Amino acid sequence: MEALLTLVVNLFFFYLLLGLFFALAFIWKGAEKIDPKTNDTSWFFKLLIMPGAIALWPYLLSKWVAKSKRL
Amino acid sequence: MSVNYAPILWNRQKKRYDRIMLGLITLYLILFAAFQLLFRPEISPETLIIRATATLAFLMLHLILMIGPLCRLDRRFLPLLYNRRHLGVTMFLIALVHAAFSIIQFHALGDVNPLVSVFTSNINYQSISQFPFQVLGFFALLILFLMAATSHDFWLDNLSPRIWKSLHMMVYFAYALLVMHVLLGVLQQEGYPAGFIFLGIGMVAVSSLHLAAAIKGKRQEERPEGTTADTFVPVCRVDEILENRAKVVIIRQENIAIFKYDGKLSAINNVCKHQNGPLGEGKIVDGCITCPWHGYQYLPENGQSPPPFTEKVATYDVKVMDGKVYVNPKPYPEGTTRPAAVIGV
Repeated sequence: MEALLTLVVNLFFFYLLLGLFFALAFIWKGAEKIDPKTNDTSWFFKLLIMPGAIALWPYLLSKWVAKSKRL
Repeated sequence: MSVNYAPILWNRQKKRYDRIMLGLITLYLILFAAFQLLFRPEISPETLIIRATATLAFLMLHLILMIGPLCRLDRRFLPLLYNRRHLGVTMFLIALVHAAFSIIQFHALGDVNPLVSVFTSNINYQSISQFPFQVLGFFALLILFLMAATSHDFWLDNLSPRIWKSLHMMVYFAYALLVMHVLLGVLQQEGYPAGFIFLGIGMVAVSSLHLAAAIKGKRQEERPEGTTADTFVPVCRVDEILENRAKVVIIRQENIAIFKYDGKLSAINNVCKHQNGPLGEGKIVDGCITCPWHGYQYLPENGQSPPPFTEKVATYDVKVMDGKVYVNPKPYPEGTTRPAAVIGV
């Protein structure tokens, strides 16, 4: 039981770690790609959307990829 | 409502709202600490912080859940709604402090990963009285985190209003988890009868307000019967609509707000494009229909947000005959200009 839960918790942390790397790239380049209203926004705004980007990175990644393909 | 995203949408009223909120939070924490130190002087600082933040966050969650139905029951509560988002994010941050101190106090001193310890230190999952209540709090906090993290309009636009709304409706699931967290954990283990009473009052208040608002909403949804030859449906008398306000009707699944202004009447769809707010509960400000929830605006004759904004809602034909208002429930495409019905002609 403990081994299984340790694995689940480690996977959870791994997911968040990937999300952190993604979120850094996203607030640097990706946000402007998927939503023009983020152009010329402050770094404070980008910091505010970062926790959500860490949590929902697979969804944002798919949107970013889809947008890049269309351009 | 802006062309580019602002980090935080503050205006004079919202700043006042936040100042009052922070003042009341500080007052609560001071009173709670004073009360605890008076009656339980042996309490440790960590336990004091855990209890103060737990009760404060839970109290704030009750308030947040009650604001919506209170505003539906009485417009005078609307100012509480204008900045509910900041109240929600603040409540999450307070709950996070509670969780962090709880994990440090109860799970960080062993050789097991503290988060793993939350799930494994008590494995009486089959027992009701000994159920590991902290797990329930963890999942509730996860939901509250998702809600706080996606509270900015950026997420509303990019997740789509339907997904965003569904995500934020999970607050009721989080509330249920927290009720169980409190019931099973704190109250049962400590034998604290006053806690049961407070929890009961809170649950009854939240559920009865939602029920009362739902009943009132059902009564207000008028569905006029009978149509004239050109499919216009009688709604009400002209003098039943206040100046710069609206009458809301639902006809054939169309949710319509008919606004009276400058001797004219115009009808638009009642659902705001921002967060599905009830436009018909708002009023006309500076010539624009203004959503009572977050101030999104639409021109009454075409349902379009004034430039440079791009939101649009459907419009409907309205006419006045013998002092009565008639509306045709067939919607025009969003943003279509329709002539206003002139009162008295």
